[in-house]
Formats: sequence, structure tokens, C-alpha cells
Amino acid sequence: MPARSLSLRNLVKHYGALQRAVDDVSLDVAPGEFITFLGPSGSGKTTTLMMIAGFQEPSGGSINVDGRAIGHVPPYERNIGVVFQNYALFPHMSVANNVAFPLKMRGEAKKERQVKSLEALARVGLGGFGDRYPGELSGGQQQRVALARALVFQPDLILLDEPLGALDKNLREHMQIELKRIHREVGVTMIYVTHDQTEAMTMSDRIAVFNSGKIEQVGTPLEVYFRPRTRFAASFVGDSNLIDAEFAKDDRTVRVPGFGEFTVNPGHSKRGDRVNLLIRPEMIRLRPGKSQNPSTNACDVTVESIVNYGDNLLVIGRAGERSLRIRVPSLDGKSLREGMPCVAEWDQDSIHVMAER
Amino acid sequence: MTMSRKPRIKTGPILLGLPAGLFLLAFFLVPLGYVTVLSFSDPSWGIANYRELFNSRLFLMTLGNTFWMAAVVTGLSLLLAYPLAYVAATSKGTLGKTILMIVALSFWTSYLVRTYAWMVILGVQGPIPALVALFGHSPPPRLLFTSFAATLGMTHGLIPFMTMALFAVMKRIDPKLMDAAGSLGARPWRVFWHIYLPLSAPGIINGITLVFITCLGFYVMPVLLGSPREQTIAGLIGDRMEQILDFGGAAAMSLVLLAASLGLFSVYSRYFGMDRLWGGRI
Ligand SMILES: Nc1ncnc2c1ncn2[C@@H]1O[C@H](COP(=O)(O)OP(=O)(O)O)[C@@H](O)[C@H]1O
Ligand SMILES: [Mg+2]
Repeated sequence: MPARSLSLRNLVKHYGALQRAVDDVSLDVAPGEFITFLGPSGSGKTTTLMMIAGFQEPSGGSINVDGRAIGHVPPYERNIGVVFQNYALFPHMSVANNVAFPLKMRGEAKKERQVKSLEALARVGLGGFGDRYPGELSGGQQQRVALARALVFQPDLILLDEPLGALDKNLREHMQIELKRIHREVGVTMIYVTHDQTEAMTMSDRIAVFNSGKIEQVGTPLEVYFRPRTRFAASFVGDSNLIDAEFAKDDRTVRVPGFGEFTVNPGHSKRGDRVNLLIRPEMIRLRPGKSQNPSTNACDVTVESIVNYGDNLLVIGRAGERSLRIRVPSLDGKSLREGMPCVAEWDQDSIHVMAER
Repeated sequence: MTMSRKPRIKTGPILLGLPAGLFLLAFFLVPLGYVTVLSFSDPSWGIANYRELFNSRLFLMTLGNTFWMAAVVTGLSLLLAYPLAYVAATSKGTLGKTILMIVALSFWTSYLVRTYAWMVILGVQGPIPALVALFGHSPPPRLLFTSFAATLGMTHGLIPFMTMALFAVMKRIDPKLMDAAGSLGARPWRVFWHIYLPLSAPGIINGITLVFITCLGFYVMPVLLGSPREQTIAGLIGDRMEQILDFGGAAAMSLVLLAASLGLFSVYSRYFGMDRLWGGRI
């Protein structure tokens, strides 16, 4: 399947006079890329997707597929496959007829339609289900039919709006793997919407983090996880310790009220800059006892609570007014007890500095 | 709504249903039984009443006329009510609510009132003949006391039923399906033809059955607005009783009408299996 690029330029959508559901979104998606829109409910992901699909008219900005402006092309001429959260299968048509529908609309011959829809159903692992009706399938199977229907006409893009949202956890993980396999095999550009950060991390080539109608950051999962650009991106993706701090004397020493001073890698900051520090909980080491020689990237904490996740423990360590979230492998944390004094320490490299916004 | 398994009936519901059941027994089944007996016994025992009916040209023509009129009224109400129900079911703002309000108002207005309103509108002194006369038709055409007037009045009276039957089904059609069809390459009219129309078909069948059967037994409008020469069965039954005092013949006619309605209803029940065909999801 030929893969297409997508480019959004200053896309805006307002409902009513004031509220901007999508506020100046620009994004370039490479051919064949799997990109995820990640953000909380109401952040404008669906609205952006619906504008790409053509169900919503943009209030401003442009949408281009392979350099061709499609912002004012009606949906039935866009050649974009859409997979809806609730599947949107036609209940009065058999599975085979559902999948053949886009081919029928394109005037393909009956023979051709049969061959292609059987092939698409086989690709999603539903060969032999063609004669069933959607109402007779489980949620996961319906989702596969929806995917086959979106694939069968060789669309330029496939848009998926929280397609796994209604499935239970095991099925979800299974479908995530399936979806990635199909993406690899078919090579079509896919835009995937979710509010589940784990899903975004495991599936995407790149993630676009949405917040209040804007994209806060676009990057690979690792970039977004380890080098978030904003406090919001840091807190939405993964577990985090977010600490506000101020550069005290030079470009590598920050003062944190309640914690003392930390040493960070030198960057573009200067004395007096206020920043947010991010330390991921799994980057902090914890050992019982008290610190002998007070070093900068460590502090004394008291274990306030321990939550067991099986493979790891979440320890809340308290240092005066402040608390730290610390992830410890279960085996290493066996001796920890609530109320125990401990030393929390980390590497200088583990502190990520973000300009305060 | 699958009817495949019979629910186990407990005694509680039976007790609750008792008053209504007794009422139906006393005021529906007993009189119906009486009418049945009457049709076979008045003035003498036997099937003479029925034989006479099926030998009567007047009766057979009236029966045909009744069915024809019911078909026309049903067709017209469907044509007029479908767009109305569609707009009511799909519009987001106040338009849908306004339409439903008007339909409900029309429900609450008595047939008699609406019938007299049509008599005024269509009467010789009324606005419609005057309007037609304005365009050079002279003398003004006779509209009142024609089959046209009866058809018009009945259509007006039954559109609310058709609208409600359609609306109830249309409201349950997921609008996302239309979007999905569009994204798959269907132009708007094909979306309608391939998706919306088949999904609203149960509403069409419900509405057609409801309106058609109601039309068969309609009395007020055909009698007051219609032509005395092209009567409907209900009118004929009335005449039999009031003018000839032939209760046996009238009873036989009623039962023939009832049998026709029941026959139609049984066809309808078979169609009821339609949503089962679609796996119970609409
Ligand atoms: N049809 C609509 N009319 C008015 N406001 C809407 C409509 N659709 C979405 N919104 C608003 O736009 C914002 C973004 O919604 P949406 O794109 O659905 O977010 P998401 O998919 O990220 O949850 C929300 O505040 C929502 O309330
Ligand atoms: Mg959404």
C-alpha cells in the first residue's frame, strides 16, 4: 500500500464564540508513520481527527495529504479509513458485506469485492466470519471487522479514535500487538488517538501530547518520557516527581526549598531562572540509614507508605513538607518498613530540567 | 426484542394484571362473542348473513374501496411523515423538539374537532375552494363530501402515528454509522439508500401496519368528510344498524373487517423477526 504524508498547519476549531476545541495545531506525519494523539479527555484529539476525516469543518488552518489540500474535500472523496471507538459497523449487513461496502461504493465488480474482503478479513484474523452479522461478534471481533473495513480500500491514512477503549485489559494488549503487526505488514500511515499513556508508549513511532486543544510536544516515546518539554507532558506520561526550583549560583546548581541544593547537567539556564525538575520515580535509589556526608543529589526521607505492585514497590518518602515517589524493585525493597529513615539518591543525569511555564 | 424464549410467568404479575384482564373480559371479549353469535343467529341461525355479504356487489366494492383508501392514506402519511420524523430524530437544536411538540399537539386534538376543521376549510364557503376559484376554476369545485376530503382528513389524522412509529426507530440509529459510511466513500444519497433507509425499515413497517389497520376501521372522518357513494366499511356498518336495523348483517360485516385486520397483523408479526435477523442490534 502506498504510504502518504499528512501535514496540519495552524488548525483551529471553535464551537461557539469563545471556546477553542482545537487551538492552532501544526503537525507533520511521515509516510507510513504510526503517530499517537495522547491527551486527557476533552483535549481536542477527537476534534482534530474528525477534521482530518472531514466530518468537521476546520475554523482555520489547512490539512494536506501528500501536499494536496483536503480541508474542503467532502469525506466521501478523501480516501481516509476511520475506525471508531464503538466500531460503527452496519448492523443490517453481514461481516463480508460490511467489509465490501467501501469497494461497492467505488464501483468495483462483485468478484473483486469478494476476493478483497476475504483477504482483508484474513489479515485481521477473521477468515471464515464473513457470513456472521456484527451483532453476533464479540467486541474484539467487531473491532477487527472495523479495521478490515478501513484497510480494504487502500486508504491514504487510517484514523483510529480510541479503538480499544471498550475492551478489557487482556484483549486490549492482544489487540495492540495485532494492530502493530498489521501496521508493519500494510505500511499505511496511521493516526491513533488514546488517553492511555501506556498504549501510546508501547505502540507509537511518535506521540503528540495534547492539552487544552494544543499540542504540547511531539516526539518519540522515549523523548516524551525522558525529555518532556512541559510540566504537563511530564506529569501525563508516566509517573513523576515534579519539583519547582530556582538556579541559585551558576548554571548547574538549583535550590529546592525543603530539599537543599541539587546539581544538574549544565544547560541554557542562568542564575535566577525558575524551573521545573523532573525525576522519574524509578531513577531514585533508596537505602535504609542516614546520609553520612551530605551530597547534593541525595536527601534523607522517612518511608511514609509502601504500595506493592508485585514486580515493584511504590514508596512514598517524606522529607519535611515534601514527598518523593520512589519505585523500587520488589526484591530490593523487602526490608523496607513504614516509618523507616532512608536515604534517597539519584544521578545527576536523571534530573531533567524544564523551563517553567 | 427477541421473542424466542417465553418468560416464566409468576403469580405476582398475574394478580396485577387481574383488573385489566377482567375489564377486557367484560367489555371486550363478551361483547365480541355476542357480536359473533349475532352474526350467525340474527335473524335466523346459519351463515346466511355471510353468504349475503359475499354476494353483495355493494359490500365487496365498499370493502375494496376501504382497502384502497387505507392504502392511499398509508402511502401518503409515510411520504409526509418520513422527512418530518427524520428531521426530528437527527436535528440537534430545538427544531426536533418543536416538531415533536406539534405532532403531540395534533395527537391531543380530538378527531371530531379536526374533522369539523376540515369541513370548514373544504366547504363551499371555505378558503380552499375560494382559492381554486381565484385561479379561474368556476364554479368552485366540490371538495367536501368526496373521497378526496376523506383521504385528506385521514392522512392528517394519522400522520402523527406514522411520525411517532418512525421517530422511535430513527432515534435509535447511531449517527456515527452515517459518518462511517461517508468515510468509506458513500455519497449522501447512497448513505441514505444503503444505511439509513434499511435501518429505519422496522419503523416503516410498524407505521404502515398501525396506520393501515387504523384506517380500515376509521368511522368519523370517512362518514363526515367522505362521499356517500363511495363509503367505507365502517360507514356501511353504521348504516346497516341505524337505517335498516339489520344487526346480524352489521355483525357479519364487523367480523369480516376484524378478520382482515387480524390477517394483516399476522403478516406484521412475521416481519417482527426482522431485528432478530440483524443479531438484535440496531
Ligand atoms: N459538537 C461539539 N459541540 C460543542 N463542543 C464540543 C463538540 N465536540 C467537542 N466539543 C468540545 O471540544 C473539546 C474537545 O473535545 P474532543 O475533541 O472530543 O476531546 P478529546 O477527544 O480529546 O476527548 C471539549 O471541550 C468538548 O467539550
Ligand atoms: Mg475523544
